[in-house]
Amino acid sequence: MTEKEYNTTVENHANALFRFVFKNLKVREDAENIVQDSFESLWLNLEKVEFAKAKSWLFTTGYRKMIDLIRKDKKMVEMPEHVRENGREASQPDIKAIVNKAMDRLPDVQRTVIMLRDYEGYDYAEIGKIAGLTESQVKVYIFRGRQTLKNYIVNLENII
Amino acid sequence: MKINSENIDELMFQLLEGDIQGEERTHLLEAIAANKVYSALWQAWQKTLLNPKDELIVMPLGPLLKRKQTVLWSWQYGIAAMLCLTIGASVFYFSNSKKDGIRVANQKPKNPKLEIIKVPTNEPVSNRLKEMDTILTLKQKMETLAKAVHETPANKSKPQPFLLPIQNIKEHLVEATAPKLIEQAPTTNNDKIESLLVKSELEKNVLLADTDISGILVSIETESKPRVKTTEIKQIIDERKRLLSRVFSKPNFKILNDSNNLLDRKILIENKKYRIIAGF
Repeated sequence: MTEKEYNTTVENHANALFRFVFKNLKVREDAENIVQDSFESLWLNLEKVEFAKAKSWLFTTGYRKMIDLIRKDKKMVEMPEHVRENGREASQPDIKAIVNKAMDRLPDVQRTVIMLRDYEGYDYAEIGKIAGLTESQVKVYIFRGRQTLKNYIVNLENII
Repeated sequence: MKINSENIDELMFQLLEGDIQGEERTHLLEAIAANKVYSALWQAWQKTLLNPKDELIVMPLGPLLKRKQTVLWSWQYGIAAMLCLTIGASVFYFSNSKKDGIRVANQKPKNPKLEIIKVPTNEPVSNRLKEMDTILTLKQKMETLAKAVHETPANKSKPQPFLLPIQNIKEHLVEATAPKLIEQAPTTNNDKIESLLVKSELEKNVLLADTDISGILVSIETESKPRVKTTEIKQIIDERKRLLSRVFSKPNFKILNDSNNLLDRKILIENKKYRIIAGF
């Protein structure tokens, strides 16, 4: 990978990686540090990583660093009720806030694979490479995660 | 495939993930739409899909962007740097040398360079004169000569080899009357006037030879003086001619141009044995 390709990778995938990490950790500083560490590792391995596989390499590195941090600090902070995102305050229980809340209740692996699947559009094999799982494991985790989300949504809608 | 309560979640998940395509998908979607409960469940399943556009979370990318530090050094740059240095140094040198030629009026240099002429005393005069011929300018030669002539009486007790030629001059003079002209009373009016002129001139501007050396005069003007008019120059030259003609027996006088002297002139006096050059 060249320097130009590295910078292209930063522009194309840095925010996606940050979103992925931030949605899992819920701490902005930690997420930024992990993204920076991931890109630093990419820079150091510039000659080894192909440009086409840079995104996958970045998410794999970022995911591992994130898991290390979670295991180390045992920090899974609940996202505050009033989180300002996109200039819009999620004060009312709209579907997005409900889904986010449900996502926070998911196990780490299920949340991670769902985010990789939905946000980044990876297939099962790619997710398996990033998360260190088999395709069938990924599929099972995604299914269980979505089922949990569906149940949460259905139950909440029934309450409302 | 028929939908029932046992397989509905699995079928809806496969529909959501796109694992079921074609006619089967169409039939399933129609069956779901026909049942309100299934339809509500299908909507709930669809809400589990995360839309990346809903999560526009960004971070500053500036710190992540990199630029490789390219090495600018190469032999071309080295040669260019050498050329620049050489040109700069030469320009600096020549500009400074031009500045050295400029002097501000009435401003004394901070550390004026004093001309130091070493007069060796233990060498034969002939050797020193040879050295002087090769090393010193005419003015310096005359200054050296004057210093030797004007030794103090205390110094005279010491051997003064430099005075030897002057004493030799005296011995070989046929008419050695010049010292007496200064010391003794003149006999005629012309001699009186001449002696007075010589005396006054010598007292003013020139250094007198010591009387013990019997009046051999060697004069050096050590200070810069204002320019003298041409008539005065002629007068002075005539006076000195007359004086020197008395000292030297019918010598050959020549007045030569010399820009090193104040009057741009020098006198060459020579006979068979001696040759004296005096600058003014």
